[in-house]
Amino acid sequence: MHPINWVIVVGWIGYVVWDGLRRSRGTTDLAGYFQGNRSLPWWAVGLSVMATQLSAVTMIGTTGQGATAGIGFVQFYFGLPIAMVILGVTLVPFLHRAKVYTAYEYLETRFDAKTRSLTAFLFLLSRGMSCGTIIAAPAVVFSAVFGWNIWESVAIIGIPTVIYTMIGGVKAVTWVDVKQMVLIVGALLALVITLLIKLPVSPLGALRIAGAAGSLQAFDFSFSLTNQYTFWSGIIGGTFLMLSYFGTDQSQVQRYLAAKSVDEARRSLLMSAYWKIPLQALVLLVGVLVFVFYVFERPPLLYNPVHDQRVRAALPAAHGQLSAQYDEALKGRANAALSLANAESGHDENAKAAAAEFRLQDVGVRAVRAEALNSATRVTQQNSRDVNYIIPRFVLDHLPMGLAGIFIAAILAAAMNAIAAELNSLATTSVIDFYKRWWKREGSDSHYLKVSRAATAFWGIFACIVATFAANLGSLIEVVNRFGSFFYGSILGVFLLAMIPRVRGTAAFVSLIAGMTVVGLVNFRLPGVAFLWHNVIGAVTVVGVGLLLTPLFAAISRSMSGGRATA
Amino acid sequence: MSPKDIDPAFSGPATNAESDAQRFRRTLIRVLAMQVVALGLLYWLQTAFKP
Repeated sequence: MHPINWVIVVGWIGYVVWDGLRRSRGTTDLAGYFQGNRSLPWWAVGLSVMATQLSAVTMIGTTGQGATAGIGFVQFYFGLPIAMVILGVTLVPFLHRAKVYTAYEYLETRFDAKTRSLTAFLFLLSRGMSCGTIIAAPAVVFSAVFGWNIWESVAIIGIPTVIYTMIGGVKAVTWVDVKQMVLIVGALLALVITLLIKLPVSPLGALRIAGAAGSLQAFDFSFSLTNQYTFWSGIIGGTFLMLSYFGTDQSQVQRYLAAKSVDEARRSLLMSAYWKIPLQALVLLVGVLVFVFYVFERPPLLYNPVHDQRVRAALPAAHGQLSAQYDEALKGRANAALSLANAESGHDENAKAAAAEFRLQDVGVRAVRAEALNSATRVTQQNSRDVNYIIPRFVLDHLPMGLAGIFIAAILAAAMNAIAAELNSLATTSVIDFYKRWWKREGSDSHYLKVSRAATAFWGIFACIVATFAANLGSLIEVVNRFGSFFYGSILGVFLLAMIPRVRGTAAFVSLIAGMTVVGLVNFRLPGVAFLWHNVIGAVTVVGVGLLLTPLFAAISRSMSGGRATA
Repeated sequence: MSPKDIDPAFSGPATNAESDAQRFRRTLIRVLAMQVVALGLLYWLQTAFKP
């Protein structure tokens, strides 16, 4: 990468660390450190909420998915606006007015300490591990693309984030998120404009090519439990997932608890309701345009440069033969694409014939790529899926000087945002739900502040260590993601039970365990069931079991108290 | 304090039933309108450039 691009990247990292540290002034107690003294405006909190969800995986993985599979992934977010509105009138006002630091604190008031501690522990377990994978995903890509050691990549992403989060607390995290979001959205828009300028066809022609490849299929109305992303799994499963994520996950709850008032907290969440789907569509559109760009510009046979070098070295003849086939197939596809883009109408006979020819040639290109990926798997003995490398390779090979640096800085910014929110919330739950609850109930503000900063540093170091291992064991990332999906629906179920007055603590606690067990069984016995449905299964099981157990536990309680009275 | 003394979450301090319901309806309509526009655009893209 050109030195100017590196200056931009290093300059941006330095700026956000400085800005984060600047925000730490005046933070002298837990309310300041974990809730920013509830002084943050709704738009800053709203941008921070959106930034927290937009990790580096979104910037490189989702755009890559757009390039290979089209925009169907947008269905994943269809339930989000519904969930935001529901939370805005239910849980947000309650938690904000209850003056709690964590969502789990409320569960002790409503149920008992064991339900609070179990849900808080599950959060620490799943988020602690996932925080490592959030660092690992971009670190692996940066290592391959820039030739860095994995430790170096993890340190470059992790250390600046830990510094400003540890010292500045939620205020630093929120205000840095605001700046990072501006950079990220600006970089995405600049990328779209650059791609439109660089394409040798008109935007309408580009859409015809993308449409012919099936990349604009946003909706799948089939009611299939095994298709990962359908309209129905997005609307139903997605609503449950988003209710759980935004209503019960401390990394999100902490953001809106820092808002000035209930109304500002609601408005901050509604910002996501309005803008999340358009933003996600923009991210996927970048991927689709990169796909169209590579129809006319020769794409790498393997986007992962390390795998490409290793296959070239181990199987030179096979690599040469595949490259020749690839060039031939690409040439045929580009010619068909030009005919399609230049047709007078997208629906006349010439255009239909060109679209059919384009699809045929595209199948040929994909077949050669699949063969190359199989070779990479055989040679490297690693997963050769290279979706995450498409955008970084495009950025480094084809973006003009300066813009490449801005986009790499935006990928780093996305990684830092997501990690900072996780570290801040992990520290809050560790201190409030465990240290302050079980070890030291009465302490000075300065003592708790020191412990909170130490907890942030601990989770930062833990995440970096997990990231290093996760990077070497690629499948671990998937395992951790599936692991997290065991809990989400079940924890939402406990909060739903809290709405039902007659349900008591023991019934809620047993239901939570039952919900996780059922989701675990579904995951292992019916692995084909798409993970979005796990959230529905978990929540429904917890509520169902809770309602069944409540009269049973009430009867037991009555008989025990009656027995004691008799005795 | 026993669990019986504690209100469940959604009849707790947030309750201002009438204004909350009105606010919910207004917000729901606005958010749904925005989503209808966004999803309508995506659906148009899908059908207009159908392979």
